[in-house]
Amino acid sequence: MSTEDTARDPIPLSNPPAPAKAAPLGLLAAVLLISCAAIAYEILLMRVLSIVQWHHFAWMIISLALLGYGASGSAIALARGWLEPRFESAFALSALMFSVSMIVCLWLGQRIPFNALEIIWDPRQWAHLAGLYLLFMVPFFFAASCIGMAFTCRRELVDRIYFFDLIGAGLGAALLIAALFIWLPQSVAIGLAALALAASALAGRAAPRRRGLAVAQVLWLGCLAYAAPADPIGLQMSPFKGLTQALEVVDARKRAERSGPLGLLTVVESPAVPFRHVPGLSFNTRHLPPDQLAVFTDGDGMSVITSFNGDPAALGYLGDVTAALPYRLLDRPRVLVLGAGAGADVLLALHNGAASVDAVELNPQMSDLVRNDFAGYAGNLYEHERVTLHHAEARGFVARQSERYDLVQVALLDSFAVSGSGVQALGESYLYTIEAIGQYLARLEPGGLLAVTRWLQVPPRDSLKLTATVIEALRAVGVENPGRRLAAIRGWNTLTLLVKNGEFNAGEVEQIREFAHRRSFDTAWYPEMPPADANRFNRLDEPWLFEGTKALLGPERRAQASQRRRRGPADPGRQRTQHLDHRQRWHGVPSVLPVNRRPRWRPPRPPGAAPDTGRSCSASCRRATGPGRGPGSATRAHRRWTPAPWFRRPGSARPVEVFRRRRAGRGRG
Amino acid sequence: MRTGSLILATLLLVAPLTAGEAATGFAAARAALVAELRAQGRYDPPPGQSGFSGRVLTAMNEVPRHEFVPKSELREAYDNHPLPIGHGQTISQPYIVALMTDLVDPEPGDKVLEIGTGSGYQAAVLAGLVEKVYSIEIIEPLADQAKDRLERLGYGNVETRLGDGYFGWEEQAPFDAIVVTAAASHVPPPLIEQLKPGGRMVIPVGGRFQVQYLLLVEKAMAGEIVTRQITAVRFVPLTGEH
Repeated sequence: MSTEDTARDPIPLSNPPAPAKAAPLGLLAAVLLISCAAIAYEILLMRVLSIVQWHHFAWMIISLALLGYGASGSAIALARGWLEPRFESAFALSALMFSVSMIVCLWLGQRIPFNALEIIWDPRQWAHLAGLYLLFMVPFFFAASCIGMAFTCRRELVDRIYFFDLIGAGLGAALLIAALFIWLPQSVAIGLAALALAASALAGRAAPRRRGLAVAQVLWLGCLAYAAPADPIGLQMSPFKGLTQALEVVDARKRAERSGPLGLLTVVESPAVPFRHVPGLSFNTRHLPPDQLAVFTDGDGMSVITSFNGDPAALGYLGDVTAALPYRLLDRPRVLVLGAGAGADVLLALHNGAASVDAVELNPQMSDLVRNDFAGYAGNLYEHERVTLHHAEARGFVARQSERYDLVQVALLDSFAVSGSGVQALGESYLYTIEAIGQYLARLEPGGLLAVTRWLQVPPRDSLKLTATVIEALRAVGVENPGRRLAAIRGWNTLTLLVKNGEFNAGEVEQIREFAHRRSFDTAWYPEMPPADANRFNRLDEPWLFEGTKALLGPERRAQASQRRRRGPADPGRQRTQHLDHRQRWHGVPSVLPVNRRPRWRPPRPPGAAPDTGRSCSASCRRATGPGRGPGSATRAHRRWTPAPWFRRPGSARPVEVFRRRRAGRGRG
Repeated sequence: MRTGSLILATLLLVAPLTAGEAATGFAAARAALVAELRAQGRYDPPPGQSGFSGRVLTAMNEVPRHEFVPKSELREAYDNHPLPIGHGQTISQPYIVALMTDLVDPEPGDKVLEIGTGSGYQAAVLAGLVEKVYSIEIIEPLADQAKDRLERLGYGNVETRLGDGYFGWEEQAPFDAIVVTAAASHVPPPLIEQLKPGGRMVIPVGGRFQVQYLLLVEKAMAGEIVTRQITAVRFVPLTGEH
């Protein structure tokens, strides 16, 4: 609608708006500030809920903000006649209420004892969740009222208002990212409240009766100034997060905290009960892990800074983890570590004789902890003569690189899921797509290895998906027999998958077997592996990984791959669909197992498994896993399979599917 | 089956009960819970066994679970799901307690180590089945509460202490069975050493409220270690539709 159109708007005004010349600048600046604060507050709430609860609440914030905007639109439509003559006062008051509610609702929200983990059996939690939802809607209602009133009551300025609204929103997003680097989220909230208060003051200047308003504004300013240094909000992290639990232990204490848009990093020391975080350590090891400091991202996803005296040989335990396998096959390799984090995989490389290590880490705050705050503790790891640290996104780094490596190691980082908080809240990862694997393989020297270590799920849906992705990536570059380039071993909770740039020879296979068996790890795949060599030490109900890999390599699967239109949950992740750990559904995994084998396992859907439900379900995912479509339909060849008993709770006819709440969002922020 | 506990919950809400009446109510709820466990059976029973061993269920029928939960959770003491007990810890779902106890195959003369006392409920159940239970807790207030509670309820064969469970309880090793409350990044090698040949260790894997599976570590007579993953999931009803 152009300015001329609005000027001819025939709606009669009982009380003409204040002279257009006096209002605009103050009003436009106020709109800009409100818009800026509203967007920033929205992102801030995502961060806060990622910290105090889990990152799944990001979607809820978008929904409740929109509810606030919608509700305010309805209210303005109903009260338009009343509002127009009182526009300036109403705008200023609404902006003030926005400012107040930002802080008060955040404070109240911390007092609602919501525990997402009990939501399945405890109806009170639904009430708590609804309470949180309605509470956090309130600030957006007021923010939207300001913007909405400006549009409605100042129609002649609509183009400029819209312009400033959008500029403000853009500024808000950028400002928040910057602010989070400097202040903790609770302090940022106070800053945003001050912005909204400034907007209220600007708009209030044109209000006819200003005194009451001014008193309220000054009072609130006083409150903010008084409360700001004292952390009035006091974020209450869920007692069931890793950080809160670690701090419950005798003598445990926080050593450092870093706020940033990629996550709140908290370093914890626990002298009485040390952390000893070593994923995939063999039972048979004779070495104990040294002292460690835990680093929590948003209160969860623990990684560790390991005490290091500069002598990698002292870290004997690092020879007894599944991730050490590639180093048995390579002599003094040049290594690229993707996701170096606090340095666990860099130490692994150093201990196992890497000639040089290029360590790539996305979050500079994480590596700064190792380089600055705890440099002495970490033995100046990132300044080590064989280590070069790069601050970069892993895929981007690999794409830019022309160098080749003997070993590309994708680190086991729980925080891959966790650091993707806030706007990237769904833990999507582009590190494990067909295209990504192809890029890593392209950086390998002839005979070089790509090593990926992941947590092992039971049954191993994620691991099979990774295997499928790797196989397809190999086929994509024209490898005739991918099975000859693959090897995988597993402990009870980790899997290490190797992909060779070349074929494994008999000597290497023997080394893999020897390494695994001495440490009670199971071989999950190597060329010409006999079935009897699977599932010996860490027994799964069935040798799923071996059978699954064999099926994925089979001719039937290959034919499917070329003509696949519908995608099953164990299908490889592509660029477009990413790799979502938790998206795979149960019934998809067996689709890669041989037709005549009916697996015995059932869905491991625990009570309260909200975090484990299908995330970010794309249209294709919904097609493949939607109700009414059995697993058999995911791939035509496996129709002999009936899904029904798997999805029924024992003793009940109710399918498990009812517990899942599908999310239709697709990764948009 | 739920009706019993629902009635009990209602009674607790509306009427101040005498101690005797309350105890009868709890006993009825407990019996209903044990009957439910017996009827459900094990999700993934070993060959030749269809449900929980009778000894385990009898032991569970004798432990007053309501004494181990916070006052605010009394009404749900005998519901088949985990409950928060403060300090970020939970008292496990009765089904999981039954399954873990059954998996370590407790014998009357056994010596059992528990890592993570929590409320003390698992230790109390074991106390009725074996000769001696040693239990270690790392959170001080929980350790103190559990110690007092177990003493008050007369579990004389449970010894507790505050400390690091990683190295087990060396003075009392070896053990016939070890029960660990929560999985960490690896199974502590010292614990495996303190397991007798033929002994069993069980560890739930998953979140505090969402055990995904149980890791059963078996030490063969020759000392060889084998682990098995035991499906442990049971879905609790959304509503009282049982």
